Amino acid sequence: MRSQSEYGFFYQPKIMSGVAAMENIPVELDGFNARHPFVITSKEISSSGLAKKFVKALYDSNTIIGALYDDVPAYAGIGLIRELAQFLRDRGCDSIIAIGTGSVVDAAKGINIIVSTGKDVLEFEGNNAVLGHLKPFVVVPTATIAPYDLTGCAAIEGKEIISDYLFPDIIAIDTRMIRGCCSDSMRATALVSLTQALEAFLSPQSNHLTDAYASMALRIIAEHIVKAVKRPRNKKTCLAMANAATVSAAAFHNQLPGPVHSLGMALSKLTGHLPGLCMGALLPAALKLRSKKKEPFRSDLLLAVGGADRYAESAENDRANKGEAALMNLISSIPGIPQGLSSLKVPRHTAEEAIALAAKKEPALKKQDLEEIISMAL
Amino acid sequence: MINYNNYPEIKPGKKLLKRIYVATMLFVFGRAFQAVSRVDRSAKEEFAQMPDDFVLDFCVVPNGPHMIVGKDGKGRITYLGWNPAGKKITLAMRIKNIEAAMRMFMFLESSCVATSRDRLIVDGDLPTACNVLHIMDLLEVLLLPKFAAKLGVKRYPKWSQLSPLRKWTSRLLTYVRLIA
Amino acid sequence: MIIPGYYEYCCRVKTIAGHKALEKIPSELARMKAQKPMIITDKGVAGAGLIKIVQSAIKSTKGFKTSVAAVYDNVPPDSELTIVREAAKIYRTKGCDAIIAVGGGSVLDTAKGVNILVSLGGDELMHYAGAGAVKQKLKPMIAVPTTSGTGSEMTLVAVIADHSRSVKLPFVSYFLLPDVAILDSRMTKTLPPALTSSTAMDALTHACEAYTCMAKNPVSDATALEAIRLIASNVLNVVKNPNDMEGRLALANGSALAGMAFSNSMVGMVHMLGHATGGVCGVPHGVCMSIFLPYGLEYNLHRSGELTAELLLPLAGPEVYAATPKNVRALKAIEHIRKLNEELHQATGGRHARFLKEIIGRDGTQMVPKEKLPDIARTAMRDASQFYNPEDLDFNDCMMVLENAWEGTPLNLKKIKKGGKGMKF
Repeated sequence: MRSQSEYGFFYQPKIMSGVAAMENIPVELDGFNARHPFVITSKEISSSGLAKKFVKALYDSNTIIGALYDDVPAYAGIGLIRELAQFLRDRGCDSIIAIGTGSVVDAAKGINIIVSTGKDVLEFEGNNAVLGHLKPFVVVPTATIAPYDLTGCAAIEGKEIISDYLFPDIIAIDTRMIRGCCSDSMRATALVSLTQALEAFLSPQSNHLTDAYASMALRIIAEHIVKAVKRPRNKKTCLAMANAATVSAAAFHNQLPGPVHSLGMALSKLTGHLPGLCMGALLPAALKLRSKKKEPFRSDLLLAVGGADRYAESAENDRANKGEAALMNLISSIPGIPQGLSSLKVPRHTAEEAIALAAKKEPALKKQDLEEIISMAL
Repeated sequence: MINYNNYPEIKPGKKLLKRIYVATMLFVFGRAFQAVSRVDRSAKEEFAQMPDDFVLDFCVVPNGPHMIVGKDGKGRITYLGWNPAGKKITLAMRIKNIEAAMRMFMFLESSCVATSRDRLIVDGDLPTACNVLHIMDLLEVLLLPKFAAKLGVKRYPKWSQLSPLRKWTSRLLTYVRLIA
Repeated sequence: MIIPGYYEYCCRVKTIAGHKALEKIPSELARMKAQKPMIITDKGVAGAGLIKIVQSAIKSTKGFKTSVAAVYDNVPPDSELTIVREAAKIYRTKGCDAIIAVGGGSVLDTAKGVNILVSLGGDELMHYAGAGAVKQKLKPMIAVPTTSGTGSEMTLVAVIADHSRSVKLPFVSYFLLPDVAILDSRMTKTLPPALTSSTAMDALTHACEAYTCMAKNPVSDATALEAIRLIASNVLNVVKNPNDMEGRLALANGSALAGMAFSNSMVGMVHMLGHATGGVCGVPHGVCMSIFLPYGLEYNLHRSGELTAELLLPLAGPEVYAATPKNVRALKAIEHIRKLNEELHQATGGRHARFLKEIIGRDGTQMVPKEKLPDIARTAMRDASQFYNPEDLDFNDCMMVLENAWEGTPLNLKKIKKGGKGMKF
């Protein structure tokens, strides 16, 4: 077995989290010698008044917003990305700020690749294709956080681009922006974080740094997830869950994606459900498969999910089992978690398509495992 | 095609009221700095440790307001106004934005919480910056009533550190010099 | 878990660790489009044969055109301007395109200074001094730490002395962070036991203070806890068996993780007193840290006691944690650190000092005479670390802690002036 201490780990973003975080964006951009950002967001966010809050936060600074483009649709095609890149050039902007989630952030990453490298996005498909520093890039997350938002991955035109250079340079988690609208979006976001943290934590390739990040994410999630779903507008739990999403994304980026994450992404692409819901429907099945195959859980899972006291009190050889039980308990206590794929009305043939898709994308995953997870979840 | 006219450039607006409030507080603070340097024993000790060319610019970036305090030729602490132009600043303490300054001067964030939240950028000699922060704490104790100062400082001085007699003499004299 | 009302965290250093991590240097350089690195180091590191290991590791890696174009090994114990200029000149004449810094704090500071000059041009470092003056990407820089303690490979600060004007120039910018930090067990293998113990305790202090001081945040907490677990469970073993390579690597990892934590959450009174003791009496940093750590935690007990109690688990393991009642866990954690110091004292044949009066210099004299304590306290009062400490300290408080740390007696908890309970984040 590979020693746990041999690894590589990278995390680019500066996290600014909490009260009046957006007000610090001008100072940080100035540190990059940038004063003229290009801001993109979606209609949903600008009509709910959040974009206005952002503009106000930049008052009394020297930062001139080159343009606030608030028409990014839920699916941003390559055509729009190319046009926006040209728009950015025409306005002479020197940095990019994305307010929101999903397509907004993906589009921002795509624009950044085009304007920084001078080449087209689609030339960079795959792993580690983007080489070299891009323009300063800020993400301001809102309540819903998609799996790739805070990582160095982008999904553009159905293709995936993964690179350390695609990380946001700044993640500004502002208390005004992250308050949830409804339980559904909070649940989906939380389930993505849980999946990312858990799969990084349980991965055989885990290392000290992914462990540190993932276990911290699990601790925050275990403490807050139930309350966050029940009361999605509570400021404190929203802040905690956004932090959990950030930290778990860091661990996720530095590990190969696990089976639940890959299958969940594939299913979401095929069915249109939120990725978090698909992952949530698969998570119990994957854990059951693990115990069926007699792959032991790590003993410190109990520490992360159950807390220090329960961990220390348990007998040493009992901790792994108790950790598993605590985890299952946590997952089933999340209000409204989808009970298997049937509750999402996923037909068998779509699920099989998802297996093929996930297996093609992540050749390291065993196809047999994927099949078993799906059949158990169905 | 994107119609560029729908997405104009947005120049940052102004937060005038907040600027006025912070500027006023900085003015009072600057005058108090000068006043306390003449009347309080421990403040004098702190000022004595500062170098002779000491000029502090305490400001909000990027557009101010500023407060400039420095030693004059005779080594006395003087309030030098709000305009940094032409002055040789040896220590700059910059608050990152007006909102952070508001939170500090409305006592929503005490100076130690603001420091640990990284709201301040200190540029210059760190030991002297420590002296400045000590004096800020002392000013809070002297100028504010106990219940308010307790929110601002980590530890309100005990009798053994600051006797009521000394506190009230310094408080009165500082106020007199501040207004006069 | 505490989620502060506001915090910032940033660590842009790519961390590569392993028994053969040095072999990754060529590919990392290639990724950054560089192949003619300059090695910057000091005489001690070069004399210990470490540069040879680095060079042969680079040479033995097939498939890359990397060749070390220059080796500069003249860095003094505290970095200064003339040295930076000299090294920058060599970098330019040899046509280098990257920097590999092999060594501790001063080597890294010098390398950061050289990088500013060779990337931004000119010979005047002065223009770039201060907070945030460097605003663009510099040349690729790789840091290879040779002591597991300072964590300076994770910090964005460089301090460079200008002897001609007798000032110290501080440089602060995220662009000063090395691009890559290489943690290789071979680099710390020859570190003597006393140095291993004091540098490891230095790292442990970083992590403990990061977890219990004012600017803590969830990410720094995560790395701090992992660091404490790694260091506490390995330090004694490695001091006793210097060839324990797994343990060496664990310490290097712990030190880097602690560096990530403290460079973001800052440190408190242990460093305040430690910096001052180092400055006044010339005591090595790590030695001060191991002595002051229990006192710092003790002094802040009424503020950060709950956090200190949580540290007992990574420090002493689950059995001790479970066997200790909740209300005395913090005290137990402090006691455990004192015990660790004691064991290290024995394992190093008395070279690992437990109290200030035990520190002996190279010439055999006591390094911290008791009459120096007021000087230390006065210097400490002008150290910026105090503002991140949970409880306030004035001159008399410093003296009280210093006197106890000199004698080796625990603090009298009743005598500590308390400003309140708990902490505000």
